[in-house]
Amino acid sequence: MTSLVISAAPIVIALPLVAGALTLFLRRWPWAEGGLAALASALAAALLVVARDAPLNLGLVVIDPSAPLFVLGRTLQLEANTQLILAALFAGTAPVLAVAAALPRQGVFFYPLVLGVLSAFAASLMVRPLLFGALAIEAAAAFTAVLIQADRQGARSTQGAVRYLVSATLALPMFFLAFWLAERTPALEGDATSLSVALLLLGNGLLLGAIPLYSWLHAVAKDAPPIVVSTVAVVVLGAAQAWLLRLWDVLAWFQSAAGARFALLLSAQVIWAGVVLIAWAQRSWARLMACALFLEVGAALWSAGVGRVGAEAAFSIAARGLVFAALGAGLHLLRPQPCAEGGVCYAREPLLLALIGFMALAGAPGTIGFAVRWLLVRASMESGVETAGLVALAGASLVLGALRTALPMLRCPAPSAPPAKEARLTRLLVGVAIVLLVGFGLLPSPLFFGSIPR
Amino acid sequence: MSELIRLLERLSQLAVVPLLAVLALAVLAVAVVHNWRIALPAMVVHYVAVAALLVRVIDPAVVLIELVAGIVTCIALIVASVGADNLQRAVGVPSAAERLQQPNWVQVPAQLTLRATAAVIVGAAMTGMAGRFPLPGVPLVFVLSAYLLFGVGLLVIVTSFEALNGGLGVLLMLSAFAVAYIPLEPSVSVGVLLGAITLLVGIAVAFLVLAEGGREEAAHAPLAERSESRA
Repeated sequence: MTSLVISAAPIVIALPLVAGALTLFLRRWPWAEGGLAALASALAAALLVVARDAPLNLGLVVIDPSAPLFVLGRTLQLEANTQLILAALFAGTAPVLAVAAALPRQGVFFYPLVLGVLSAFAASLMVRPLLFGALAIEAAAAFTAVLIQADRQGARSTQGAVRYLVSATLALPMFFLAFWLAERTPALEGDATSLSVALLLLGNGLLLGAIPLYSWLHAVAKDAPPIVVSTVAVVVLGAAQAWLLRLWDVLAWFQSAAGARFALLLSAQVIWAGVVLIAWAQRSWARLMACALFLEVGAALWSAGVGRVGAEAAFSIAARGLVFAALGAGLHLLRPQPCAEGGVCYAREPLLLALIGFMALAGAPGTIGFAVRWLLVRASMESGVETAGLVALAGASLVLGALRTALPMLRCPAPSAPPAKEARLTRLLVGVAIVLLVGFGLLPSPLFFGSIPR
Repeated sequence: MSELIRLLERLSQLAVVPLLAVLALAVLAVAVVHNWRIALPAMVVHYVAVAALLVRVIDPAVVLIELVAGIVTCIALIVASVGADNLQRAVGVPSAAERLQQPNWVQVPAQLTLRATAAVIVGAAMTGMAGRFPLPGVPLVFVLSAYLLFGVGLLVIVTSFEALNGGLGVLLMLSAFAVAYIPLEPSVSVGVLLGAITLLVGIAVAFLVLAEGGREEAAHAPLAERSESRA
């Protein structure tokens, strides 16, 4: 009996959607709700990894990621590099969702929204023509705006969400014009190439929040709850990075344009220089989170500029999931408690977790961030040691800012013991996060999904 | 349904200039008057004008989907705005109706003049751009409408900080995209997809409008923010 060959594309799109719908029925049990969401994300990642080299044979059904699916005249198909990066995106989201399950709910529809965003972004990374990918990103942006808002209320509380929605919508005509120009002039030359490349860079800059004066990153980092900021860092930034890498991978004229590579590398360097100058002076966790996001945006632009569109990019996205999950949990649990001597004091464990999270982001040796930054520095050595130094300085500036923010909190006496359940949960989260951050730092190979770069 | 389709076809038979004039007046009202009681009906008029334009190049039934999505979006925004108004009235902020009945004569003339001047400048610039940088393959009337909608959408976003006006700017830009792209690919799937995206964005904006209208409470502030403000 012959097996039925089906494309992996509809499964990867539908799995988060179905799980998102199911979480609505589990609202009374937050652990189950978050657990199911994390499980769905991990399952999608596992499917993409297992079926990477050969179709997955399940007896009656064979799941083939490279098999195209035609829907209303469009094609849904996974390219090899995109498959790996999409797997990393799902794998990186799973720890954030698992951590969120242990914390109070972040907005009414947190899990369905995250899974909806993942599904829309997955569609954007598979669909052809590429313009429909941009339309899928716009749909994801609608979900993301509600996700960013969470359950906050009040005037000016919507700034981050509105800015993201505007940025994603502004990017849409840029992509439309770039793809349309490329389609109308098959052998792109001269002005048409420059214009298309500029439009693509501008569109991606808006999606990544890299455009100065109208960046949505700092507004989101400032206002949204920490775990939502972590989710945005992993899912939204990861998907925007994956979209940029996909464009770089499939559009030969984009890749071969000398100006594109230069612009991407220069933008990354400017962003890192900004982080070097600004991060150390911050004494606010929210603003430090914004600096951390900018550091990651720089890394995303750099990885595209140096053509690291495969395993290395996937590794950085998956590692970002672990680091931001820890960081989000640490900052969420970092709540002021009344002191016996009067005033407020802070528990030490979440503070330690936040500090380790920032150190991992900075690329401190012994943490998972070191492997990510080492790959980035190695890639940048071709263009001179200055960039490597800039990345190291940006990381150091971030850690310095984190220490400056943490010091006043460490000066106050340790608070009295919190309720036993909360103390257990905090210790468990901190312990698991540190083990994972350091464990994967020492043995990072599993996060390369079997494609360790030389 | 067939009556509606016939009506759309009738509207599409109108001369281009009156259609463009209606579209321009509607988007001008959205750009100048930042009061939902005027801006949202103007958005409905804009959706009707866009539908009358699109019915020239695409199946009227598909345009109807697009039109219904636009109108449903406006209804959702009206409901959210009424809710936000009620929430704000409870804390002494005048509602949209009160602001229309008793305008603030110190601020309103200056604001309206500034926005109207900016809208006229943007309109003139966009008309010039439509002639200077046409989109090959797209009829001029669509190019002009798309440029106008995009420019005014951008203006609305730039001149406002509220979720509703920012959202209206986003919806105008989505209309601009529909007007520019549908003549290039007049297929059912494109029309339905754009209608669905309009609806999704509209619902997201309605959610943000309601959130903005609510009172900020300490319990809703992010914990890290609260901790640092007390540190």
